[in-house]
Amino acid sequence: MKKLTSLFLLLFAFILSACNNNASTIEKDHLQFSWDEILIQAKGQTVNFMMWQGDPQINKYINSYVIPSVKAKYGITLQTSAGQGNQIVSILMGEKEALKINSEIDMCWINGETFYQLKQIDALFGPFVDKLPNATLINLDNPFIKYDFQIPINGMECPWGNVQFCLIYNKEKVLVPPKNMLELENYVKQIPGKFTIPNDFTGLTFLKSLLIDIAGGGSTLAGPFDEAKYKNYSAQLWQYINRLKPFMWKSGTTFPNAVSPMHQMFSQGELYFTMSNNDGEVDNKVTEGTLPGFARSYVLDAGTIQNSHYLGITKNSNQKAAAMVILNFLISPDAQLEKQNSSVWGDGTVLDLTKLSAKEQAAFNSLQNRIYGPNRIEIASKALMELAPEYMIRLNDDFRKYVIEQ
Amino acid sequence: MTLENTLLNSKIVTRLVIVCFLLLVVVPFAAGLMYAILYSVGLIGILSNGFTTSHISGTVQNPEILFSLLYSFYVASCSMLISLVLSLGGVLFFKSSITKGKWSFFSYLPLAAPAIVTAFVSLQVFNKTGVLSRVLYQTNAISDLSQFPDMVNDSLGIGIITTHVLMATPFFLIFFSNIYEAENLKSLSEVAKSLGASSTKVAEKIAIPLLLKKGLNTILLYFIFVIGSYEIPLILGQQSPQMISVLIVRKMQRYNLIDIPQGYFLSIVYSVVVILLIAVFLKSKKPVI
Repeated sequence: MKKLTSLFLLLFAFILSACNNNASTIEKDHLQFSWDEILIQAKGQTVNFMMWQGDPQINKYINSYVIPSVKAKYGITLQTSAGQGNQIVSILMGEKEALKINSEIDMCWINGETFYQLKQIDALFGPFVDKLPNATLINLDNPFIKYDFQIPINGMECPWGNVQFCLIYNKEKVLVPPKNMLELENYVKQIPGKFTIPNDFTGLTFLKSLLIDIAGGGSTLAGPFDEAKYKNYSAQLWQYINRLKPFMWKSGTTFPNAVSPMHQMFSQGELYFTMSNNDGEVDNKVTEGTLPGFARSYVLDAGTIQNSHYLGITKNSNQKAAAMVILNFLISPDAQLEKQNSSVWGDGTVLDLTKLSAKEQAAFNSLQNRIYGPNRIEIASKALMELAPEYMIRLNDDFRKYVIEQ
Repeated sequence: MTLENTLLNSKIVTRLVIVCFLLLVVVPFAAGLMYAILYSVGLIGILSNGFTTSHISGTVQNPEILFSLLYSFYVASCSMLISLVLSLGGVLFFKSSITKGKWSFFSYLPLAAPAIVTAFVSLQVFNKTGVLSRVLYQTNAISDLSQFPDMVNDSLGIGIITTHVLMATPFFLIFFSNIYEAENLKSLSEVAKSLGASSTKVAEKIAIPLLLKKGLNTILLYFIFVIGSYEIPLILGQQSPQMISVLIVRKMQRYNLIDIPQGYFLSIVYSVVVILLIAVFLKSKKPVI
């Protein structure tokens, strides 16, 4: 027994010692280098990029276009690994808790909630965006870029793409798509079992758009999280959703755990609606053949969330120079143009077109030829700002509490 | 001298095996459990603010855990019961021929499929617009695809149970077939029959008790495996209640990092339940003096 107790105490001490988080990391201050020095340092380095790899088109863009380009132009080897949001946060948290100095992740694809979490655990390098020559082509004062979930980015993450939430409908079954919450409620009641909300990031973005609508518009919920406002408007939101619930997919007894199974059910006719955070996704997916030709997308009259996604460099990355060079390439007009093409990815650019040359502007404008999705410039007038991250955290908890478990 | 050396060598080998077992199995598990305990009471973790029991009390007060554990037991019990009935029936009906000859391929094939693949196959076959539903529609058995019953993401866990049955039945078929041969049940049955026992009596009094008794360890381990399964309930389950592994991962990967200790506490609860199950089982196996 004594031996067992000793072993137990030894283990306890071992774990506690392994979890000391007062380590200091030694790093070169890349922010002091000139861009030419960064380019020299970057040559020959290998960068690990953790990104969501759930879309073959996006993977193809990275593997067939970005990786060969950065190798040829800068001599940098870019390696990708699969992981998103909470996985990135888990890995970086684990590394910090284990006092790991050189992170396995050099750069990562993030947005709002992950940015908020990575700031909480102080895992991001920066501010570095000003160091990137191509950052001058971005309007960093554009509120849809300057703030990520109402948090100023302050150069700690680099804008990469900009998209707007859209509802996708079956045009053969839904002849006149509902344009506001009342019409949506009436319509869902007419087509029981054909509408649902995914219990994931996309579903939460939809709920946020509805919450803003209930609150009377974009400015009411702007700024830091407001408990009183949230309680008031979210109560109305849950009442609304619960009125729809009996008419939703499987009578609202459950909800899809992600938007991808919703796309599949939509394609098979089990659902008449699905949704996407990316206004360009329908054109991209129909071209790719993963969504059927009857898919069309639109935004509600009261507007939908417009959301930028970003790239970050980890604080403990050992390849910061190379990561910065890759990020600079990714926001170059060439890389952004390629990315915005619907047959490639269909992701909206973060570049300010007025800052580009006439030739580049013409090239971007020639891509505004969507067949299945709405015109990007037209729906921009209905764009709503992302809310503070606490709104999403609370909506996530309360959607389960007041809707799923009811 | 040679005998002494042999005994000494065998003692050293035994001790080495025990040390390896401790190092490879017990120490990592104990370290993981200890880490989870420290995390759940706020003693470690980069966002911790010192010792607190709030994560534990917050989790315990939530009925979701109890429902999740009960739901996991329900799914595991149903899956095991159906699989055992089917596999025992199969072995007794086909004798040992099911693992030999040209048909044996079909009993081995499902074992090669990973859980996630089997879950997706079930989803494609059993959902409302799946293969089965379309066949019934084409044969006019149903007039609309929506009339097909809820078999996946359903409240009774039919999809999860069916998929586990599809995976467990071939495994137990092969497992029981091997016991059937090793225990020479064929000869035993013939002897019993020559003494006047009917086929039903032979199955009831000799074959089934013997197969179950010999396979008890494996049955319990498989039961624990089903309780802790992740991919199948993730793909085919409902959002509420969720099986325990799905619930733990959800808690660990929430948007709110402050909730992570709750996930660690849940993993402790799950570990304790599994350890208790094994302890009760081992106690029941002790010979009565």
